[in-house]
Amino acid sequence: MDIATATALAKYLGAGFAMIGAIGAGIGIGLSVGGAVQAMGRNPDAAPLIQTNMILGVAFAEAIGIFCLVVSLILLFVVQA
Amino acid sequence: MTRFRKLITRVVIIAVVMFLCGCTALFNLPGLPQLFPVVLPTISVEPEPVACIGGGLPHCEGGFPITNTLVATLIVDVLLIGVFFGAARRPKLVPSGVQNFLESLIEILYNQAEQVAGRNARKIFPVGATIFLFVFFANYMELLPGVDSVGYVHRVEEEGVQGYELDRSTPEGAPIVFLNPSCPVIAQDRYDRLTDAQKTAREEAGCREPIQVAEAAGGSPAAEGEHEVDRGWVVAPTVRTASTDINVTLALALVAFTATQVYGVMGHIPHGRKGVAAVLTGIKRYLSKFFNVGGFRRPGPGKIFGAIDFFASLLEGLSEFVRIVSFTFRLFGNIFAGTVLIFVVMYLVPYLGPVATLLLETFVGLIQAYVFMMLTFVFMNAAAQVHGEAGH
Repeated sequence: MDIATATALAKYLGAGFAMIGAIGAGIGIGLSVGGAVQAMGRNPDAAPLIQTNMILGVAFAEAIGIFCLVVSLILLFVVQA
Repeated sequence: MTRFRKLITRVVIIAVVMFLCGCTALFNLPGLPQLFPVVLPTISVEPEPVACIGGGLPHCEGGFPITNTLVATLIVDVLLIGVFFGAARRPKLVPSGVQNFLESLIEILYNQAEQVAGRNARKIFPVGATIFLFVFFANYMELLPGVDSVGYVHRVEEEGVQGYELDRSTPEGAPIVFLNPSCPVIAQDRYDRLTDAQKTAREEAGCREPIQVAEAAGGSPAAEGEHEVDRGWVVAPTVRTASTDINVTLALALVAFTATQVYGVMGHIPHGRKGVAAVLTGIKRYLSKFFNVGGFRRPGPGKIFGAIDFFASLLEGLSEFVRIVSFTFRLFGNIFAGTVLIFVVMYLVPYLGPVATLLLETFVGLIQAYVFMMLTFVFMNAAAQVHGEAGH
């Protein structure tokens, strides 16, 4: 395997590995939405407030996943190998 | 009658599912020629210039580039200003039509601001609502046909970009040309790996021979300069979704950041005082949030907690800057990933497949605009909380 093939291989592997971080975002979003839905079920009157806070929390959790995605996209489309 | 209708519904659903699966099989299976080939658009993170002041296309070296995302930004600006001025020019007491829609939209946004900031909503509302409207319209541009796909055709110069041949039916020198999706330009080694069916399909479409890339030892680029390799053509779109440019999202994040700091200082000015001295006091009080040295004045062992407070306040200052990064990449990443998803699904399953993606993107575009607005509201409101008063 020559250098060019090896770098291309490393690029794609790295892009794939970068997306492992999305697991954390998935767990975080799942936990926060699950908690919010339970809270809404117990206290439907507070639904709008819970929903707003839930979306904010989801956005923070999702940002981590998006960072992974950006790293992966940069590896795929910006890094010239 | 209802049974008949149920039957019809079932048949239609099954037909749609079969059609979808059929499409997927046709377009996904390696080794089969594509029935309805579609061009895979060039995916580039940086925006392509569509015009260049004092330089040449396509890369605009040494000039001032007018990028396709700038065009999209201007379109969104003109659209927003036009629609809102048009609706507010002759406001009616009982609104109808566009005015009604816009008023209800503004009311929804205002309620969100009120939920966060209570009676201070009037002050923070304009920044967040403007960001929402801009991001919302900018995101939804990716759903329009023609965006990202119509543009200026130029030759591929670098390796790693999939070029296509031009459509043969267009005459030489025509102003409008099409790429020929049946004929992606490929290198010899990739051509060798195609199946016979794919090779015949290429021949029937009248494609050129595969290009010969100099494959010297280690793929040295020195051999390439000897003869120009025709890597085919790609499209640099005239309009590209504004949020897929990191500069746009960074600019929005900086606007939100600056507004937060200014509003934070305003909230720390002592009540009822005006003038430069009051503003300076406000700045001093606001900065004491991030350089909290007050704890050191405590007597004896309390100084340890003072030190902890100090480091906590430093972290708070750091998080202000981290927010810029997270604002920037959240919007950019979501929308860029969305466009890439639309491209790829359109390439793999040209019919019906993109509908699902477009639906998803409709949702994502709205949520991202909403999140950007809400976070701006929350951060601005938090910045204006005077230390000690907030009750934490």
